[in-house]
Formats: sequence, structure tokens, C-alpha cells
Amino acid sequence: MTSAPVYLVDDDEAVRSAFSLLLGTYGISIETFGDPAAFLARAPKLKPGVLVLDLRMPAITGLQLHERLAAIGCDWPTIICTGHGDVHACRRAFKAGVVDFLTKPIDEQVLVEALQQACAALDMRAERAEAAHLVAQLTEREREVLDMVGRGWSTREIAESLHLSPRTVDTHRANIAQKLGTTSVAEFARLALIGKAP
Amino acid sequence: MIAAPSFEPASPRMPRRLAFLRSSAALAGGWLLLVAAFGLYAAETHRRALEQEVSESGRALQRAISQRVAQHDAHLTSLSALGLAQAQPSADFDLVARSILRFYPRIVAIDLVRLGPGGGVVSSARAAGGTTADPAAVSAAVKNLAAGRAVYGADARPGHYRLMKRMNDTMAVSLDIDGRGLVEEDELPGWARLDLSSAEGPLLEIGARQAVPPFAARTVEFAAPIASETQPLRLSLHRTVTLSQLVPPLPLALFAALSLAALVLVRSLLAHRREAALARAAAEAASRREALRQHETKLAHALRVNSMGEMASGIAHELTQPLTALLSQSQAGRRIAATGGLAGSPVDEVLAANVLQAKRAADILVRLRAYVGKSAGEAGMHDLRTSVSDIAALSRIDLGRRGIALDLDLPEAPVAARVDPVEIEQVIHNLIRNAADAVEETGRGDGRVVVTLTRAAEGAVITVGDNGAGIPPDILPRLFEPFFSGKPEGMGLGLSLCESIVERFDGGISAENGPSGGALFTVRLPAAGAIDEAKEAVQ
Repeated sequence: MTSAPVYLVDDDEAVRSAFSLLLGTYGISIETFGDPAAFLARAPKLKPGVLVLDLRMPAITGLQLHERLAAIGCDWPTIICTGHGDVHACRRAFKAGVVDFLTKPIDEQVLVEALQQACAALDMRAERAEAAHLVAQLTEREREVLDMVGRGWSTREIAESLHLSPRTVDTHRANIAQKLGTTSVAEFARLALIGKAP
Repeated sequence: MIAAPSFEPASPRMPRRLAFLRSSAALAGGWLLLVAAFGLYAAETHRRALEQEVSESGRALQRAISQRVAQHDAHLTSLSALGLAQAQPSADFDLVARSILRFYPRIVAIDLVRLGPGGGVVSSARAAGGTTADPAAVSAAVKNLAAGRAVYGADARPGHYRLMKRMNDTMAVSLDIDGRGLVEEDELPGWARLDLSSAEGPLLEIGARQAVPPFAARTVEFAAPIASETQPLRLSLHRTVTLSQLVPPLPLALFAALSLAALVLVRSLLAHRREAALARAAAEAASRREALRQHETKLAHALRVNSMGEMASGIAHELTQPLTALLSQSQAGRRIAATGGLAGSPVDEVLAANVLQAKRAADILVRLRAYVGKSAGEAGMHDLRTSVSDIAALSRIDLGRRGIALDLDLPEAPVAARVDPVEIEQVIHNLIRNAADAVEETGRGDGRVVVTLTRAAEGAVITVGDNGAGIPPDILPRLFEPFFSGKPEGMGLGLSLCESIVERFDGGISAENGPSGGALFTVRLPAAGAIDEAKEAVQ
């Protein structure tokens, strides 16, 4: 269902193996860690994925781990699991940018849905990064033209608006299509929308 | 540093000036001094009054006597005029002399004397007690006088004197005066003794000489000359004053009695006040002890409730993990069974039952947590200094018994945080108790627990440090886990509870080994403003 790997950090061996087993049946690639510090050391070398962190662990909490990961650039979608249905911890988790907060034991439906959302967030993030990368290759004029195409304007309308000849606009459109690797107007619109420099 | 409340009754206040009254000897001494002062004052006042009286009487007598002796001069003048007019004895002179004798009884004889050898008394008038002058003596007395001048002459008879006037070369007139008549009976106060004296010696003494009592204080005296050229007399008035006159015994006794009564009354009032102050101090100490005991009870109750909650919460946490594994594994099992075509088989049914039971157990845990969560106290704004010093006062009793010092370092300014004071006190209490246990384990004599409260940029920081052996590094990471204890008899809930409480107020707790080796626990609580911002952010 998703290509993004799931990284589970939980100090309980039984929980790790149960989640591995369950998610394995869904074809989700999962890697588990019992020691937060060990994971923190390895994280920079890992492929971006979804984080599932236990809140209560010795020495470091799931939230602290989340913050430290974000600090070293691994700001991946994070799901916090806890045995305590602790409102305060939940509040702080969301404030820290966690995508979901689940209370153990976690039903498979709930877990899988949360993972799907997290994956979508991760994909979205990747797409956004890709689009931004593509759009960044365009010239200033090409970005203007792309923006107008995205709004559904015709070549003639664009030419009038920019005081250009329709032929020049067509040349720009050809260049844009080549740089973005697509001729679809719908794709143009999508890239123009999500690839805009923030 | 803020001193812990003292349980000694405060020393009752008593005016220092009056404190000496507590000693009976001092009371008696003070009383005697008071009576003596009164006696001296009374004596001085009476002495002045008596001196005044004596001197007033003396002046009145001086005036009266001066007038009377002046009359003698006047008589002499008129008699000598008569005598000159009639060189021979005449009926006129005798007539005048007799009328003078009649009207002035102190003049007892009047003689007209011819001077010189062969002279004699020309004319003589005498009243009772009067004697005729000796012409030779008169001649001698007036020998050196100019005409019209008079002279005083002493007389052998007590109280008598003569006043002689030279009329011309041959004649003189002489008055025989009984000095006792110079003072009228009612003019002399009963207490007085009067002396009149001339240059030749005492003339007379009126009034009895009083027998001087052995403790007579003194004699009050007035002395003044009589204003007369011819009769140079000197008046003196005496009064013997006894001690009882100077210091009247009845008022003195009355004063002594009253002042003694007043002193005794003041003393008993002071004693009463002192007792009342002592009783009040004792009552205050008792009420402080009672307040402390109630505080302790409240804390112990909160500890029990919280410990129960923490235990339930700990059990829930411990059960949650295997339950999570059970649920996930059963659900995985069902999916595996389904891929193997075993959906609906007895194995699948067993796994489905497992899923159901695991969820049921999870529901029970949810309800348990919800119940435990309810016991959380009400958070409000509190000055942490109060909590820290209250709990330090409470702990100091126990630590004192165990010979462990408890140092407290609080800031001058209030440190406000949104907490339930009882719960925060419980945290500090737990930490102090742990610290004391750690110190006691080392068996050192200079055991010391240091509690500090500081205000940092992000909120309040409470530290509890000790000079024990410190926390072994292998235990340090698991210190706050429920049911994990470093003590053989420990339940492993204390620090876990501390963490739960502190986190409930959005704070954090951490443990480390201090620079000097002992354990150092740090509790951080967010500043009141920071909590509100966080809440708004969540909403």
C-alpha cells in the first residue's frame, strides 16, 4: 500500500514483534528499535519514513526523541503511542507537530489508518519538494506563464496580459513542458500550486 | 534564607523597667526608697512652712517692739520739755509722768535728775516694781552726751533697762522700763521662745525653753535688730521642731501603706500579664503544632490517594504493553489465517475471541485511568516559596531526629506557578525523604539536604540535593519508572508519582549526580504566563 518505511521505537520487545507481525501482513515495511539513542544515531542514514514512537521510555520520552530527530533534519511524520491516555502529553504532542496520538492497545484499523495518513503526509511532503525543485528550474517569465496556465488562461489571454506575441508564449510553454517533464495542463496547475516557493 | 517556624513559646514581653518587681527583695528595697523619698520631701516642705511661719511672726514682733520703743523716745522728748520749762519740781511734770505710768505699764518709773556733785532726784514717779534712779549712775551715763541725746542703760533687775536723756548741763530724765511689757501676751505664739538682748547682754527671755527630745530635728530661728537708735536691742525668735512635726507619722504611714499596696498590685498585674503571655505563646505553639499536624495528615492522605492512583496507573502501564502485543498479534494472526484460507475456522474464531478479550481488558484500563485522572487536585496560582518552606518545616522535624541538616534557600520575591500546592508539596516531600534516606545510608555524621527555589526565565526551578553516595549510573535511566525501586523495601512509586504530578502541571523532573557526588533532583515548573500561551496554542 505504501513504499515509505515505518520506524517503530518502543522499549517493549513483545510490542515490537507484534507490530512487526501485524504490519507485515499489510505489506508495510517496518523496522523496529528498542533503544531510542541507537535509533537517533542511525536515523540520518535512513530513508525518510513514518515514525511510531512510544511516549514512555527510559531515559528519553517519545516526544523528546521526536524533537531531537527534527533537530537533526529527520522531521518525518510522527505518531506517538502511549499507555497513558494523558491529556497533557497529548496536548504537548500536537503542539510539537506530531500527526497522531494513539492510546495503547491500538486496534489494527486505527493503526493502519494513522499510518496511511502519515504516509500521505510524507508523500505530500516529497511531492512538494519535487515540485518545488522543478519549478525552481524555470525562469521568472516561465513561472509567470506557468501560473497563468494553471489558472486556466488560454495562450492568447496570456499573450495579451504579458504584452507578448502568442508565438512567444507558445515557446515558453514548450520550454516549461520540457523542464517539468509533462505537457498536461492539469499537471501544470498542480505543480504551479504546490511547487510555489513558500 | 528563611528560618523555619520555631515551636518554642515566645518569651512574653514585659516592660524592662518593671521587671525588677519580680524579686521580693527588690520590691521591698524599692518600696523603702519610695517611702524615704516621700519622708524627705515631706520634711523639706514642712521645714519651709515652719521657717516661713517663724519668720513672719518674728517680723510682726519686730514691728510691734520697734513702735513701742519709739514711744519711749517720744515720752522722753515731751518729759524733758516739761522739765526744762520748770526748773523746779512741779505738779505738771508729776501729773504727766503719772499718766504715762498709768497708760504705759511697761514704764515703771520716771525720774527727773539733777546732775553733778550735790545733785539728786528732783522729781520721781513710780509704779509697782519701779525703782528710783541713782543720780550718780545717771550722771555717769549721760556724762558724754550732748543735750537732747538719750542713752540706753542696763539694769541689774532681770528684764529691766533704763533710758536716760540729757536735757541740759544740769538736768536729765530717766525711764525705768520693764522689757516684758514690750511684748503683749497674745502677740507671742505658743511655740515661740523670744529673746531680747542688748550689746551688754541678754535683756529678757519670754516663753518656756522646751525640753529638746532626743530625736529633735533642729531649731528654727529668726533674728533681727529693733529699729531704734536709743535702744539698740536685738530680737530673736526660736522654735524647736521635732521630727514628728517635720515628718507627720500618719501621712507617712498612709503613704507607706498605699505605695506598698500599689507596688504589690503592679507586681501581681505584671505576673498575671506574664502568665497570660506565656499561656498565649503556649497556645500559639500548640495551634502551630496542630496546623502542622493537620498539614501532615492532609499530605499523608494526598500521598495515599496519589500513591493508589500512581499504582493503578503503573499497573495500567505495565498491563498495556502485553495487551498491546496480544491485540496486535491476534489481529495479525487473523490476517495470516485469512490469507491461508482459514477465515471463519476455529483458529480464526479463537483469535477473534482473543481480540475481543484484549479490547475488553483495554476498556477496563481506560476506565481505571479515567478514575485515577479524576483525583488530580485543583491547580491555581500559588507562591512556591510557601509550599517549599511549609514542607521544609514539616520535614525538618523528621530529619532533625535523624541528625540530618536541612538547608533552605528561597528567593526574596514570590515565585508563582499554577499548581496544586498539596501535590507539589508531596513531590518535594518525596524528594527530601529520598535524599534523607540516601544520606542515612552512608552513615555520615554531617548529613545534609539542601532545597533551593529559584526563578528562571522559563519558570520556577526547585532542586533537592544531598551529600549521600549519589545515584548509580545503571539505575539513573530507569529512576522514574513505576515499580522500579533502588530501595529493597521500596514500591518504586515515589519518583514515578513525582513525575506524574510534575507533568500534570506541565513541568518536568530530572535526576543527576551533583558536582560533589550526591544526588541532585531538579523540578521545573513553567511560568504561569507560559502555561496560558500553551493552552491557547492547543485550542
